[in-house]
Amino acid sequence: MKFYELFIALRYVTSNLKQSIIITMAISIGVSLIIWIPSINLSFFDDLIDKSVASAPNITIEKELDTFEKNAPKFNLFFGDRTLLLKDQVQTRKRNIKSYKEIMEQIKYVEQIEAMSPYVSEQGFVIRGTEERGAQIRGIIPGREVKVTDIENDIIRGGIRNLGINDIVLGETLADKLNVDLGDRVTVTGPRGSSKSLKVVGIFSTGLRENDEFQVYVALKSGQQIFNLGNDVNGIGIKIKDIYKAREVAGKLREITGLDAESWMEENKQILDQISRFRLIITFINFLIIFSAASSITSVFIMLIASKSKEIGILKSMGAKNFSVMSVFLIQAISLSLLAYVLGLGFAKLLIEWYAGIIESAGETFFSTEIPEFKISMEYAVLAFFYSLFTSILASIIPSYQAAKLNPVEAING
Amino acid sequence: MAEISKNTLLKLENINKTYTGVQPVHALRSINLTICKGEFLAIVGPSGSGKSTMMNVLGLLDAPTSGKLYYLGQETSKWDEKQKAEFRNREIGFIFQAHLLLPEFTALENVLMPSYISRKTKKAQKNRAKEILENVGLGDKFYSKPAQLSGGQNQRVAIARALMNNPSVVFADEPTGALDQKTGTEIYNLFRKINAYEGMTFIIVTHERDLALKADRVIEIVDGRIVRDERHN
Repeated sequence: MKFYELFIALRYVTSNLKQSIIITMAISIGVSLIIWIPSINLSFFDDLIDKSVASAPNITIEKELDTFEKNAPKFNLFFGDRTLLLKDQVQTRKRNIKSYKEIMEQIKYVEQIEAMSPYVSEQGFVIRGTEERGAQIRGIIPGREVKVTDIENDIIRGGIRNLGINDIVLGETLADKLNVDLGDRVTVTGPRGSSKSLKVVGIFSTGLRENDEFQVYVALKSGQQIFNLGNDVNGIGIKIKDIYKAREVAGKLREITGLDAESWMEENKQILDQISRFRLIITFINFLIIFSAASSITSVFIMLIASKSKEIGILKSMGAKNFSVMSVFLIQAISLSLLAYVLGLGFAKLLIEWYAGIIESAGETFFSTEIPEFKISMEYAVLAFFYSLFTSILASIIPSYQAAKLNPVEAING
Repeated sequence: MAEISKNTLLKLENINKTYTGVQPVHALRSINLTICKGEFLAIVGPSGSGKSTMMNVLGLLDAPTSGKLYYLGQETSKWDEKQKAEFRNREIGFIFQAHLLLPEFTALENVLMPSYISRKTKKAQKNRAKEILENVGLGDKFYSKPAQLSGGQNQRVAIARALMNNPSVVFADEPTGALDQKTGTEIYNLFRKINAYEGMTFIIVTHERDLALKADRVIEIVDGRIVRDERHN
C-alpha cells in the first residue's frame, strides 16, 4: 500500500463516527457562517451598486461648482448688500456648460468611452390636480441617454426613445402617488417658476426607491425651458467599457476638459465605504469563528489521540515513522474538513434561501423596491474553503505532532 | 569492533540502561550477550528485574544508556529514529501481552499492516497474510474485527502480524499471560512450529517458569544483571 496513512486515516474517520461528526459539524457550521453572512450582505450591496451603476452614467462631467462663498469678497465689492439675492443664481449659472457639443467632440476619442449623453438636471415639482410632488427632473436626448444608462430596460409601460418636447417619463412609485398613467397630463415646475404641461408616455421601475419615487425624464429642450437654461446643459453622462476603470478615465477627462468629472465610484462612495467597513467587521467575526471552531476541534483531537496512544505505539513498533503517524491524524483532519466544507456550503445555501424567503415575504427593503438576487459570494466561498483547511490543520497539528513524538514503549505500556 | 560470526543475530557489549529521575533506576547493568540466528530463548526474571527493558532495548524501541548493540553485524547506536523504524519494520516482529491489534481493522488488515508500512502493495502480500492466518488456525476469520474474536484468536492474529514481513527475530512479551493454560500451550506450540519451519529467532520474555523451561535457552535476569544463561537442548 503506497499511502497506508490515508488508508488508516480514512478508517479512523469512518470508525470513530462520534468524533468525526463533532469535528465535521464544528467546521461546517463555521463554513456556513463565513459564507452566509457576507453573501446576504454583499447581495444587498451588489444589488445596490448594480442598480446605481445601471441607472446613472459611469462618469459625469459637470462644471465645477464655483461656490459663491469662494467668490464672495469679489461679489461683495461689486454688489454690496444685494449679494444674498444673487447667491442662488450665481451658483446655478456657474454650473452650466455652454459649449457641450464642442466638449463632446473633444473627448469622443478618449479610450474606453462608449457613449455620451448631455443632460440638464435640477429639482422641481410634478403636479397633478391637487397632488404635488418634489422630483429630480432630468432633461435628456433619449437616443443618447439609452446608450448611457439602462433606463430603457427599466421601462415597464410605454417607452422613452420617442420622448418628445411635450412628454414625460416617470417612476412607478411617483406615478402611483400622483395617480397617473400613460396618456395622462402632469405639470412640471422648475425652481425659478417656469412650468410646462407634459403627457406621460412612459413609466419605469429601477428597483431603487430613490429613483422610482423622485426621478422623472423629459426631453432636453423641455428641461432647458423649465430651468431657463437657454442652450446650456448641466452635464454630460458617459458610459465606458470597463466600469472599474471609471476613476482613471474620469481623471483623463478632467485633464482634457478642465471640467469636473466624477466616476460612479465617487458618486457611490458611501456605499463603497460601507462595504469596506463591512468587510473589516466580517474579517474580525471570521477570526472569532475560526478560533472557536479550532479550539473545540483541538480538544476532540487531543481526546482522540489519547485514546489511540497504544495503537500509535504498536504502529511505531512495526516501523511506522514519526511523519507517517503525524500524517494519519492530519489526513483525518483534512478529509473531515473537506467533507465539512461541502456540508457547510450546503448549509450556507439553505440559510441564504431561508433568508431570501423572509425578505421576499417582507416585499421590499430599505433601499430597494425589488428583492435583490441572493447568491453565494464566490469570494467568501473560496475563503471558507481555505478557512476549513486552515482550521483543521491548525487544530490538529499540535496533537498530531505529539502523537508522532510518542515513545512507543510508553505508549504501549500506556 | 568485536568479531561477529555470520551466524550471530544479536550481540550486546556492556549494555547499561539507567532511567534518570529523583532516584536513578539501573534497569540493565553491564549486559553482555550473543544470540544466534534461529534460537528459541526465554528471558525470565521477577517483576521489575529489567526483562522488559531488555526486550525494548533489543527490539530497538528504547536506546541503551551505554554499551554497544550489534544487529546482523551492524552497530545500531548511531542509527537515527528513521533507520531504527525501517529496521524494526523489516527485521523485527513484536507480540505483546495484550494483543494490541488495531480495533478498526479486520484480522487480515491487521496482519497486513507491517507490509503496508513498508509500502508493499503486491497481491503476494495479501496471499502471504492469508497463508499465515491459516497457519495460525484463523483461515475462517480473515474479515473479523478484533472485537469479534476471542483473546486467544486475537493473540494468534498478533502472532501472524509479527511474522508478516518475515523478520529475523520475533520478540514476545508475556505472550500467554492473558490466556488460559490450554490456549497458552497452543500458542507456545505455534511458536515452536514457526521457529522450526521458518527458522526465525524467538525471544520470549516471561515470568512463567513452565513456559521458560520449554525454551532451548533460558536467560535469567535479576536486578538488571544476567544471573543465569542455560541451554537445555
